[in-house]
Amino acid sequence: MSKEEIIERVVALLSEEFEVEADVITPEANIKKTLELDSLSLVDLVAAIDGEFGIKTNGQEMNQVQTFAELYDFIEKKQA
Amino acid sequence: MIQGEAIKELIPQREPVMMIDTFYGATATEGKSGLTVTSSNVFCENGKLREMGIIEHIAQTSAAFNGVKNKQANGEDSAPKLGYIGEIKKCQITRLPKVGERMETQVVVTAEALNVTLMEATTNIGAETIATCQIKLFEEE
Amino acid sequence: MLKDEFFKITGSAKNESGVVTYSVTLNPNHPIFSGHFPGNPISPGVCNIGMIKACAEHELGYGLLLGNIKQCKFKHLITPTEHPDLDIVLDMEEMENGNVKLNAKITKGDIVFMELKGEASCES
Repeated sequence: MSKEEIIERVVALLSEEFEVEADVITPEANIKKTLELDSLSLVDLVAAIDGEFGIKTNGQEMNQVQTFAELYDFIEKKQA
Repeated sequence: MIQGEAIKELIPQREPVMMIDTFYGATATEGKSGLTVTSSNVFCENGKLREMGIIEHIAQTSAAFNGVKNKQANGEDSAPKLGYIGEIKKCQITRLPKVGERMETQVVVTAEALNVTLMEATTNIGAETIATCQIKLFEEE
Repeated sequence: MLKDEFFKITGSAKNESGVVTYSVTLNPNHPIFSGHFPGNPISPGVCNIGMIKACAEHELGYGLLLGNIKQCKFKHLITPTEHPDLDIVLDMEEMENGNVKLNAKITKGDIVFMELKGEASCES
């Protein structure tokens, strides 16, 4: 899967799942602030990403991913 | 299979709120428990276990699964951690179990992050599914 | 079951848009608190759901089966020592098929303890 495709799918997935506008999901934006994640909802992000990309993520890894650009890299690496 | 008093090794709830009487075992991502409904059940009314009892049964199945995992990770002597329901989604209950009926619940882990576990639960009486639910369990450190 | 034992209703008020707020008080001596958890009484999440349902039934005047909880978020623990008095806010709509659409929350002052969205059916 190309990086462009990853980005496209992440933006579509997260804007629907977390009910935010697609244009707030920019590479530099902070994930937790943008999606208003708290300690209880980080698991929803893990479940959404795992479900969409068929990868297995643990919370510690995901907790260290700060920006959407880092998330795209993370998914790319996990898929490789 | 874990039954009776030994259930207390897996979950922090005590009478009259204990809503599983058997834990059948766990794989890496799945666990299963059972409860026979008695008339003395605190969530029973007019011979039926109410929605609250079913959902608590599901929550305690998740808690017992976590209890088993906790023992595997930290040793047999580790006490069950206090846990709470963080969120329930898409919870469908099609009928209430009657006194004397036995329900069994299977939970499957969908995702974990920090001390939060997201699970899918299916509750059956025999071959009939009476409840399905997504449950998020939060455990204290 | 829970009503008048686990908690009691102390009052209710309806606003102009039909939203009803029930004031309730928990009974700290109820046996549920001795099991959830020993020495550390916390209202079980399912009892919070049960209180919402009981108030809805009281308001409607008939029994409900809460067969569909679309989403229920528990945001803050309810303890009978810290928060014995609670407000249960009900926004209900009786639909054509006889079901009741239920949006509810439990609050006190600035704290929102839980929110529930679901649909209940009339129990014959």
